[in-house]
Amino acid sequence: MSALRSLAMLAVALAAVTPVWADEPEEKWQTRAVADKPAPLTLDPAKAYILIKADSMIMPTLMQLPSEEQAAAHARRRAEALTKEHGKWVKRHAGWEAEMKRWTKGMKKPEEPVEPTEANFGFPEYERVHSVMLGPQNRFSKEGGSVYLQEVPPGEYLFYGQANVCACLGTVSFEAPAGKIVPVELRLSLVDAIRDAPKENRPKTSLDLPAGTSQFLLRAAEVGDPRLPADAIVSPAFKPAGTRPNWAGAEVDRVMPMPGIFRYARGQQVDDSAPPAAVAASADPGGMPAETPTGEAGPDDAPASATPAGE
Amino acid sequence: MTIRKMVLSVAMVAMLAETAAAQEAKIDPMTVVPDPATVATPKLDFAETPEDAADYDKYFYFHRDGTSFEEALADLRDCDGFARGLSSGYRYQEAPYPYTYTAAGVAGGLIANAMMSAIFGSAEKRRLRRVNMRRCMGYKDYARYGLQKDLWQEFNFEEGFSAEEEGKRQAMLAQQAKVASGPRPAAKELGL
Repeated sequence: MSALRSLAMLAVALAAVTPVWADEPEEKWQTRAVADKPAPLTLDPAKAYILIKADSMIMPTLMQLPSEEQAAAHARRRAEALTKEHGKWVKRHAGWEAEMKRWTKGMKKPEEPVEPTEANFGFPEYERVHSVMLGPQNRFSKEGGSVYLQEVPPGEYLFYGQANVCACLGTVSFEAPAGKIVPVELRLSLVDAIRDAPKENRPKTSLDLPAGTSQFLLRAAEVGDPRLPADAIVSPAFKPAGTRPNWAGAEVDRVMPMPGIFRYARGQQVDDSAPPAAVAASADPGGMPAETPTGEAGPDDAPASATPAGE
Repeated sequence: MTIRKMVLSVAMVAMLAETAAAQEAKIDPMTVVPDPATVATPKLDFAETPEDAADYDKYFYFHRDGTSFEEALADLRDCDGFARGLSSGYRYQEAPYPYTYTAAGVAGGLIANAMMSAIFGSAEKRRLRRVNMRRCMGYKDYARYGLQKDLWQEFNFEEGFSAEEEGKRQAMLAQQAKVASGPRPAAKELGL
């Protein structure tokens, strides 16, 4: 992929996910890339820090998931916006009615404005407007690959995707507590396969990856940077977060299953981290065999239905 | 008005409302599940040529054993929703009444759409749809089989900048579901 195309994709992704809350003073949702400076890092105790490590320069997108209070506030904003928009519609509709009275055959028929309703009102989801794309530049470190460190509001964060591929078919979330650094390693299976496989077996596209291999592997990153306070580093507690809409019209894929945390069964996440009784309830009521942790597909004749996790 | 008449009137209004709601539900092509007996079974038999086989990455259909028509249609619609991305979608469509908070948001969306079009082109969008359908259905354990282009075009569509009309799209998805839930094909499985 050319650098120009990568930059173009970056611009597209940025335009598509840049938070539009930024102008609204009550929201104050901000993130900041921590720069690569020699001095030890002083953490802001009111902020969380997400460290993403990869072999190469990357452009992962993270989205903050709402707490109960944030979700309620978002719902209130939606309701307020709907009320306001409905008021505008009433005026527009009255104008349309007046135009219709003047309309006669042969004239272009005025189009009736659509009434905004609870069901059809397209208000962006919370996470869609609380998202941040890291990289590809502004690395915190270039030692042994690329390390990005992002200062974010504390909360639960979702891995949405990387560059022009989203993890829309299954992803994970993790907590980023205040005053802590959460180190995550992102391995890109296609990049690894192209680098490691013998020339004759190198995949040409992501569809050529071995069966059961998706493009994203996430795990806790090992951190040895002396600039980071060791007592502030907490391992990411990954949770299955289900599917997400393909908002940007990207290529879709999913995060590789995590043994003991989740697996996939017929494309749906099965939570393996819950207590046994809950797993039985949330997994497959029909006893459907799930895909193995390496992601190999189950038998074709398996009965259907599993419960999506994290939705 | 007598009490009896009032009760009848209320019942009639309720019935009309129910009928209207039912009709509304029936005419929504994105959610209605047709009777599979009314869905035409596409022709899948053909004498394979090397040219056909060279195009199987583009022209294919899905099948999974032990799957009902309803399950297959739900799966195809789900994957179609992912494959459509922003343009519309089954579960994820842009709402009929879109709203953006700020002018910056509107501008961002417009820029993104314009740049997507300018950079990737229609061919890339069509390729992306194929990749997304293959991956999504593959993850749901559907097997993929190759098909001759002419036969494929009878119940499939490609999607570049302009979206397929919803009624036609859903009719084709229903035919694909009929194939996906029908007898196992004798042809060779292609993998993801």
